[in-house]
Amino acid sequence: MARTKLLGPLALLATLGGCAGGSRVTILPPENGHDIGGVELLDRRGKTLLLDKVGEQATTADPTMLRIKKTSRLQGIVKEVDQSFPPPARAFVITFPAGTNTIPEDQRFIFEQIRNELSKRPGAEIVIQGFTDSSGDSELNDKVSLDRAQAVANQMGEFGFQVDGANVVGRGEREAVLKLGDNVARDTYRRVEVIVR
Amino acid sequence: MRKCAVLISLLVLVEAPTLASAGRIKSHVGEVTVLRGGQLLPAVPGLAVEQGDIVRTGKTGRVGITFSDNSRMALLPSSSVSIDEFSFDATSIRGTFVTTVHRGKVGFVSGSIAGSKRDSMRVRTPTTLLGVRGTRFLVEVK
Repeated sequence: MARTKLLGPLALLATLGGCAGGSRVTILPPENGHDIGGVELLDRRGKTLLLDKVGEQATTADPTMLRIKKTSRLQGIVKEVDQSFPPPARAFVITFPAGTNTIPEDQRFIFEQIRNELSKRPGAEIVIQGFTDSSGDSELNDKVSLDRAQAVANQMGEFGFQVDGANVVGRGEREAVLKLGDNVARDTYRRVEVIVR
Repeated sequence: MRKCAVLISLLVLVEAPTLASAGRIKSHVGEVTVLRGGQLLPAVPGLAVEQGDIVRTGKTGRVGITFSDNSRMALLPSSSVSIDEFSFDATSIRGTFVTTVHRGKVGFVSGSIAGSKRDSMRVRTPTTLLGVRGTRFLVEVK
């Protein structure tokens, strides 16, 4: 199935090929126990190969050969790359009583945590995402989630945080519908996530 | 409600994804440049990275970039990557992310785009096309 989807760009790949040298792909250990979805490789003859285990490595050399093996120097590779990755984004969650969009007093301590996180990240930015549970109308939930996100952005602005308007998003009930099904009320989904990255 | 969900999903399909900045440089050491429209921009933390940019590191250069879908990229010394295509709709969490590794060593941590739809994140090398399903990996090009 995936093979047919990847075959489309084959012509482009052929034009990229030329007299280039080889490429190598290595699967690194995932962060924080995330699942490994894998990487599918396609060579210029249309041969595909799926790498989906830590340490698996494929090399491609002219003309088109794909080879797979387990690397014996994974630790060295990880050490070399890890020092250059930026840290993962960190999310701070604010929950709201139903029908409100003011940050509850007992959750304002989160601002200090955010400020602290920002100070550790050069070139940091803030993204504010509003969510609702899946009860009620989906269009209204879009509005409610955006209003909450905007309200948090405004309140953070009063505390001296700089938030780009394009980074304020209402995600409505999409996540809740996927995880809970439609028309389910759940406090933990009625929230705003302030993401620092 | 179900009708609304169908309508919204149709709207999402035709929504034009945002073409603003794709990501930002977060850290760098040594010589790192961004080639944009014929101009060489020196890397600094916070510099926006855009679709069409080519990011290069010198012999001792390293750079870390975080993209709008929270995917991340690490270029090791003597590397070059172009951001061929980047679009991301933060509301629907859908988009397309296509890069080419021209040379060197480049690490990737996939983000929301790879998780939203198969083959929405792709990495090209001179000899291979990668369809990223969601993971952390290193691409090396000699």
